[in-house]
Amino acid sequence: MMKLRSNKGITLSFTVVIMFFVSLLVAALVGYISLSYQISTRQLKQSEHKIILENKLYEYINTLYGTSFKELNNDTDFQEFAGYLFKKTKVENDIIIEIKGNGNFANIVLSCTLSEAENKIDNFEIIKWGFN
Amino acid sequence: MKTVKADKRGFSLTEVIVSIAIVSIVVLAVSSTFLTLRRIERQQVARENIISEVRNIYHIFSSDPTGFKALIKEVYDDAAYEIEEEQMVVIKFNLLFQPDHSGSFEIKCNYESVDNKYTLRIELPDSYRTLLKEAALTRVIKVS
Repeated sequence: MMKLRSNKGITLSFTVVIMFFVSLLVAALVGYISLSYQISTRQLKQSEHKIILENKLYEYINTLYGTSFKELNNDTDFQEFAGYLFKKTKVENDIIIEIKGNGNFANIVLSCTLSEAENKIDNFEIIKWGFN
Repeated sequence: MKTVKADKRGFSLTEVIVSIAIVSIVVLAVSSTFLTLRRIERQQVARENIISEVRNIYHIFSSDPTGFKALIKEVYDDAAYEIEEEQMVVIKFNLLFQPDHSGSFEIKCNYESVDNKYTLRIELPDSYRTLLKEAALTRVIKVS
């Protein structure tokens, strides 16, 4: 029976090249997974933040019922309400309300424009709504 | 002049065996990473879809808080059904969180109206309950 014989072990250059490519592959995979997971998680958190901003803005608008727009003053800066920052600006007969968070995603601002309808104190409508 | 002879020996047996071992380890690692990646990706897609559905439900509620129940049943068709005694509309979803009447996941919309104040509280499936903060799950709209 013929035997397969080998007198030679692995050469150093062979080992180095193999190890280099294996580590390169592993590093690329780990980097890709971690980066895509981070980006996706951040997008989810951002969407959640937007939902909360909308809910808080409705909460704030609810407090305006029964208030005449004439009684409202312009805010010079953002005021805190229920843990979020709000700012009212009067433009002719309309009021622009802006809301933003005071922690993460502070650059995301939700604004809405309320229009007072037919001089009724508690009757206004939302005519604009959106993120900056 | 000195002639250079080609090396006809090729790879040694040890080299071949070691390469096969390394390649199989790498293939194993890559395939298991790929499977994990797919699982994570599916979870992320499901999470994105949940958030998108929650936004959609809120959008429907905000557009007409008084007629929410009728509107949501119209939009989600047979994937949504109402439990009248509990003032609740349940929407069924499949594993990827697409509306599906035979799906195993449910989003419960607790709807309440007191005077001119309409409240919508969204309940996510147990396995996704921690996905959204409490503040994101309730919306109150006053209508004059």
